[in-house]
Amino acid sequence: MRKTVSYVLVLAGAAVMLLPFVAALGNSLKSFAQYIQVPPAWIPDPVQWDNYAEVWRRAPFGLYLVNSVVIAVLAVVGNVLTSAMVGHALARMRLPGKQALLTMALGTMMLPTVITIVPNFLLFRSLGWLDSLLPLIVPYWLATPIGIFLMRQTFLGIPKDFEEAAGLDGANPWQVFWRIHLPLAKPALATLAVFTFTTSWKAVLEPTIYLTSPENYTLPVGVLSLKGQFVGNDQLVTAAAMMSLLPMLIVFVLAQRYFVRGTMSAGLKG
Amino acid sequence: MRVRVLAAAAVAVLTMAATTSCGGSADDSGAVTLKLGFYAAAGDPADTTMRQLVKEFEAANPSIKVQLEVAPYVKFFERLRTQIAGNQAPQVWLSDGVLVQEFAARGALADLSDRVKSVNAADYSGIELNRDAQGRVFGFPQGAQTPVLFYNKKMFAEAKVAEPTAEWTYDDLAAAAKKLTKDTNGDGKPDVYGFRAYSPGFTESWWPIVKAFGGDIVTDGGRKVVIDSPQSTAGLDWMLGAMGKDGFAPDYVTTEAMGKGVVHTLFATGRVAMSYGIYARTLPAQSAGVDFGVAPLPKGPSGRGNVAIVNSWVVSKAASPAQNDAAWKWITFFSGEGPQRKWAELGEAIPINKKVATTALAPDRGPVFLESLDAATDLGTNAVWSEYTEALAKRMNEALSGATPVAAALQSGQKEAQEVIDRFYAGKTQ
Repeated sequence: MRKTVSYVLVLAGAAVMLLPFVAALGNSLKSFAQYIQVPPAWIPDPVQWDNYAEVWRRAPFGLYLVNSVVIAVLAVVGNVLTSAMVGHALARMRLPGKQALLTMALGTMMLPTVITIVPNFLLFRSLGWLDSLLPLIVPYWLATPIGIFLMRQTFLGIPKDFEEAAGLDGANPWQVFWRIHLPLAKPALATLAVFTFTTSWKAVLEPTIYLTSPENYTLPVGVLSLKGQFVGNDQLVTAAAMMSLLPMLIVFVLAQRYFVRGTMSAGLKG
Repeated sequence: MRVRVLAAAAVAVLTMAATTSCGGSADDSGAVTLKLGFYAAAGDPADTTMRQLVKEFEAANPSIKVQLEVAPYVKFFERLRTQIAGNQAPQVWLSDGVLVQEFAARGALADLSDRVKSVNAADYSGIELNRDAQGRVFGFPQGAQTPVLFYNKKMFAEAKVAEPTAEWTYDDLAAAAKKLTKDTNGDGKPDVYGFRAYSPGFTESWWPIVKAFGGDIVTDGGRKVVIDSPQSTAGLDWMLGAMGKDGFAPDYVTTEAMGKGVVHTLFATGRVAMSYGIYARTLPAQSAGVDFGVAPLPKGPSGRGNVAIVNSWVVSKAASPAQNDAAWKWITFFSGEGPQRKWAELGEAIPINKKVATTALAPDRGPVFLESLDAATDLGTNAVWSEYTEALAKRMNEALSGATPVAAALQSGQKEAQEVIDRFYAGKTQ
């Protein structure tokens, strides 16, 4: 009985969570006239499969996908690696002023992107990086505040016995980090990887500002590029958005196990 | 070993990512490279037509190479403001008409006053609407928008109500709208309304109504806010009556809750029988298959209150002399009969080439828009248009929602909008 109630509650919750997704899927298969119809129809009639083909006709989504994947993968590699290194240093090494450094790093999280976008634009312009993928990748190779915090918390939770034992066996600090601590931090690394991937994947503001050539567009910018001023093309935008969701969904499904464990251990629930 | 492979791979991919950078402003052959920015959705007819026109322009001007920078409206201006700050703006771009003075006042635009003297101004609409308080022109018209009264012919026929005429007054509008308002599902509340009075896009709502009732918004070249007047009060009272006691228009909360995009489709989806709409609103109405006509705005105590927005080509002040020349060539090319006719086929904007406008627009609707455009004043443009209209609209919306009495809202709206203007112009002689 108790199990049944639990299942019913879980299913009801899942249905509520799925509802917007189902509505979006339905909208992606409507004509414009049906899209704006009031009251809205759940089932598209007729089903406009052509919306998906039209999206591909209008914009090179294959290219956008490649750009997004290149950016997201490099962002993940860079952020996981550098945040782990910084987090490890802050958690396990003797470093004067490390608490102040951590506070400063976390403090930058309080600045909204719109505040930093112009200085960053000027910086990237002086580096000659505008309209390239670099401004969307390189910052992730300098560690991110959320990554530093997550990894620091994880490394703080690993007992000192491991590194003391490794030290007795002659391991240097790099070996302790790479061979002992990093493997133990796999759930947190996976969590950070998923966070970084999703953040990078769905970023809109920075790619919009830094990228001007359509061949450099990312998927979200490509999706929004379909948005019309007077006739919204909303059905096409929704179809494109549904397609752009797929890779993120795949990443989440693959890393789900680690993701849940990682968020639990790092206290990042919610 | 694995670390080294990883590092090498990362360096290789980063190098590849870096090499995707685009080129500069001129090539080795000495040809002028012109970055041209405009807003359109990817693959939309406007995007396709603009690209065709650019090809034609390049073919006619082999020494000019055009690099396009295209983005949808909101994203285009989001990026543009950052580009201007970083001195990376296109050399010529399509500006929303209400933003021309904003860019000009911040030193981003070249003064086109002398260039404009070289064309026959009588051949084009909207040049005068672009002139600032000092008589300078920073933008050349690309396409115009002006609100008129859209009406649904089928709904009028079903309700046996005579279609709007040029002689209609606001009383006529109200009388017809009441007859067109219906409760189709029998729940005791109307679900089809005769008229849409409120819209977050005030060009199609309170702005022309306030003017028609004899009020005004700004004077003195956009420096003085004058909306707090008995005439403005009368205009807003008419709107409040439409949404309240007379009940022929959806109220503020209902309309606002629909969201801006949906509000603009109220007419296209048959939820209102009449609506003020700019020329571009013909597109969703046509896409939704509505049989509609347009009529002049009704007459108020002080006329029709026609207003217009003239979207314009502007030239970056940072453009080199050669790029400035090339930009002007593009502007005159686009204003020519052939390109204007192609652009008119999109149905997005009223052509600014008068010869084209008189022949290319639908014969049943074109004259109404053109007469409205001829009679129109600008939308109170100045260097802080976005900011002061936002301050004003906030108070106007409070009045129209019934949250604040009209008199108090007009008073505070005028004060706050004036503060925005004064803050910018303080100490400025121009």
